[in-house]
Amino acid sequence: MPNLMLTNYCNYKCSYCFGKDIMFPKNPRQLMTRDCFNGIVDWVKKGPSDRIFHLMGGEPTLNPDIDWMVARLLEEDMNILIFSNLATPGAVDLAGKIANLPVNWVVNVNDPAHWNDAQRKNITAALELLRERACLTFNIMPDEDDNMWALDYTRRYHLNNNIKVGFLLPTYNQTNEALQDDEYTVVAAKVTRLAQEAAKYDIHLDYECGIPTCAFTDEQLGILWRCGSQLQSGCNSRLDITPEGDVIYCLPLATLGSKHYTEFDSYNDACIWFDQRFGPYRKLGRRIECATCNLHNTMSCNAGCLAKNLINCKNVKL
Amino acid sequence: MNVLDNISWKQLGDRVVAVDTNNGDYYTLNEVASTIWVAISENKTLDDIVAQIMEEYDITDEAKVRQDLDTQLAQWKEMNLMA
Repeated sequence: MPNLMLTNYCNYKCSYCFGKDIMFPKNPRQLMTRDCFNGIVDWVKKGPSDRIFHLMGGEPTLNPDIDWMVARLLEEDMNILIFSNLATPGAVDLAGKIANLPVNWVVNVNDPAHWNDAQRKNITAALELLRERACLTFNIMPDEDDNMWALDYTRRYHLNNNIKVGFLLPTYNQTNEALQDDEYTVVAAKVTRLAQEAAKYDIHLDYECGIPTCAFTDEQLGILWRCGSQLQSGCNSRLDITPEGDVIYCLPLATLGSKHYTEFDSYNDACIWFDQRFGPYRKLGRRIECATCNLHNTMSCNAGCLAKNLINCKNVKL
Repeated sequence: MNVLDNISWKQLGDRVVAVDTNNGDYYTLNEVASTIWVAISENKTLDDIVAQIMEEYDITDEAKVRQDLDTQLAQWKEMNLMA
């Protein structure tokens, strides 16, 4: 099921945000309305798909109707995953109301050393409420310390013992801060060290999309496997739907085109439409070696992030 | 000649990879073919391309280069990569 952007506004302005091209302030501030939300939920229910709705932003708790939207999905017996930085008063408020309901949270955080007092207060209050309903996710930076704070927070607040890590990926228009090619192996080494340390506490790593297998050595891949943090090198997009109901393939590729959800009979049809258009581009790969790589040819590895692979590519269009 | 609009391509190092977005057919070109492909996309004349190949690959037989170039372009046309 899709990722619903409840707003394109975020209380953070991260330089590496890969949604930048459709976020405020580059675009007018948008909030998904109840009508739009209802229409999308009914549209998604028409077709066969899993029953998980991802609510995201921007920062979704900045949509004042999020309580109502969560309640609506729960009435429909849907599973809900909220992607939030928890740094807003609204996040603490919502966490307090629904901490005991079957709603899970993916908490986008950066190093606590960068939090201000208000952010720290909200994040820690919400984590205290959510506990195992929340898992941390963050990007591994090439030039920062080894992220052991994530293990500390996971243990201290009894969070879900899966931590989701990502690489800094570019938008198609390269409007954000992203990893340089020679930094992939640096970050891969940091991921491996974090996985090794995490395993000592029965904490395991999951992975955001767009991580190429070949960033890691065979030895590192073996370590990840043994630590229970086996690399998943996917770029399998759930479609994103903007606050105004426009369907996009994924945030980094947002500027390549969109269609309003009402132009498709169902969510399933939208998936097929986008997959048909973007599928061929996946073959281009990230490096010339992708052409003869078994992992790529068997789709075990999607050669990293499609948006990155389409940069400097000629004749790209929907 | 021009690369057709449905052929999406990029350079990876000194090689060109291309995909036909209509049918998903995928191509990797060798180094010389990649040089020709990029030159065509930059609208260079055939004479310029011949001169470039001779210089870059230290070849003195111009007639052979011209013949190979013609053969390559005809092949790409036949494969519906260029028109």
